[in-house]
Amino acid sequence: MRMRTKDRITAVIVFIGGLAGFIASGPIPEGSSIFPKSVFVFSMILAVLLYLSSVFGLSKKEEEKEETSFRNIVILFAGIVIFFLLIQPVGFIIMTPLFLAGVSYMLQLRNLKILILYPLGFTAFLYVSFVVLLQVPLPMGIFE
Amino acid sequence: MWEPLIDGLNIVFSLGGLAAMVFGVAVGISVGAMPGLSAAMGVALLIPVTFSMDSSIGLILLGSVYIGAIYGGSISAILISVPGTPASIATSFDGFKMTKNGEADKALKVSISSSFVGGVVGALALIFMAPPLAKIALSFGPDEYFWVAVFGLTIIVSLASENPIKGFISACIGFFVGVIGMDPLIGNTRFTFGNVNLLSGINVVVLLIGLFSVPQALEMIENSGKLNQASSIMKRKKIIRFGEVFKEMKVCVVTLLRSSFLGTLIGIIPGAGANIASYVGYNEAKRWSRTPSKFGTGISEGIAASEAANNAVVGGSLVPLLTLGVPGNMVAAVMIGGLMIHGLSPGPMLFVQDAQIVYSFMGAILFGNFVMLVLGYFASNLFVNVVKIRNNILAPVVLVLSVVGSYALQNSMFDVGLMLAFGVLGYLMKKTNISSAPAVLALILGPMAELNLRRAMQISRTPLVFFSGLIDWILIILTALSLVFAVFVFVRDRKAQHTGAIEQALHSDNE
Repeated sequence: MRMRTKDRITAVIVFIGGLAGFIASGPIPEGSSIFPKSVFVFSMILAVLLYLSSVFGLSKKEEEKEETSFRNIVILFAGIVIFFLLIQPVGFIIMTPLFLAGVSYMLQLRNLKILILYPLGFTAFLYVSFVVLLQVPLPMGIFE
Repeated sequence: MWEPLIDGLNIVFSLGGLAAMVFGVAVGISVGAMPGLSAAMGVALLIPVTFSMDSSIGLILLGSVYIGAIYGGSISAILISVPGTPASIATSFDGFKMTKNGEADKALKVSISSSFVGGVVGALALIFMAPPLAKIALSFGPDEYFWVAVFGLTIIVSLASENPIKGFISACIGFFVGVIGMDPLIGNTRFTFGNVNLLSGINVVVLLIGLFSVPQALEMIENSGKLNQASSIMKRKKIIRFGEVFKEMKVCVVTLLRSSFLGTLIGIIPGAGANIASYVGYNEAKRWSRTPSKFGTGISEGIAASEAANNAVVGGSLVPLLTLGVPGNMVAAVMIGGLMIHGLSPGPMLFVQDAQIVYSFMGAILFGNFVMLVLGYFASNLFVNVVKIRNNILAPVVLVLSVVGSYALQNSMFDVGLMLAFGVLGYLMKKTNISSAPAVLALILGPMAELNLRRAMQISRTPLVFFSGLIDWILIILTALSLVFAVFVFVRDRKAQHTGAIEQALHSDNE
């Protein structure tokens, strides 16, 4: 997607967000609402300026970037969402090595020794650092 | 000043302080050496780790990470011509050439020695400048603090010189996040949507981890070709002795001092960071050199100029942070999160209420350079290996650290969810070329500006209070100069781009 198109979409989103925020500021008592209302009005003005700058081609030309692999992004993002949803019920001791090994495998890591050792080692490192040394509790899930 | 400094140094040289310095510098060098990780990210990820530590020890750890990370970027810059941090881009000009000439060991040792000199100069500036500046700042009222916040916010224009509109949009995001929670003056809730987790506002560390770590992790793996990138590092054929390093450094003394001074000054100016300092240091060294044509061919002076400047920024950037609460650069902005998590507010009151903590922190910024010198000089072989870690391992590890770190703050999965949401936002902002740096700055300085504006108006009932004192006018002039400078840079960059485009068009016409 070209940057001009991205800028226009961004401008529309920022404008709608600013307008929604301004309306949501309505019920807030006056002393507390002046600053947020000013921010929302300012953001709507900026959105209009951004849209106009994309229409008149005033944006700085973008360098050509390498092609993005959406597959990798989706893998990592899906992995972290599953990790987030399950870390509390299942526990970080199980979920962390599963997440690390699973995501690394999906991201083309095929060395079996590394695939097994580094997730276990890193999980152990986290447990010792946070739970044992720093006494910071982490979600233990089924081990609680 | 001497008594609290001695008390602070007692903590620095305690077992805990020394362990924190060694561990922090080692982690910092490793983070800095890895392309794809940044000093700001390293500090942000370690903030939750310091939560349960003694405040002094925690801050010593964070400061040591900062020192190590700025130097660490030079390792990959020299060995594989990929700077580990933006601060080391100028180091790669001569550093990688030296590696290709079989002088990698010499380049690494010149780099660590130069970083040490720059770091010490910056730290001494911090120790001797911060206390008197803090004394002056103690007399500031809400009107002066308002202008301090506005001055700090003008950095946004410098940070967003490529596209100011997008920079201010990013700032608006930060302003909005900053108002979430309870109004500090009246107690009304703003944008909490009935969620008790938002009553005390959004923890700045959650935002920092989300904006700095998650987008970096996603960027590391977004190109398939980068996944299995294990760099082949050129062997260091010629091992150089200490005497030879000393000889090289003697030749570069003037360059080292000039770069250290420039780096410290640039660090103090809010908005200018280590990357600008290293470029300026390098360019000035080339300009003043008797043999400028040698720069870029693989000479020690090129590395010395860049590395002394970027490490001097560390101490310099902490001067406005500790005295006024205005960060000198992005890493210093992240350090605010480290202070806040220990219940400390950056600003001159630190020197009154928590003198021992702030002096131990400044002491660590000085002596951390000695630790860095020893580790960097004798253990560089170890740190070289971190450059080889593949992105398909590094990216998931960074995400796990982000989740664990966010959870550790308040044992709250809500914070983890917020962190991930900010992470997605940060990634989308990167894809649309909106820098997240203005958002961080606005989150920190926006509430400061609003609170002091309303306080001053409550006390005096007239806007004239903002123009009533000498300090007000000094800050107004500094703010105006900062804006003028930023606009000048913006116009100059646009003209250069326009001229470049015309030249390109003419060139293609002639072909």
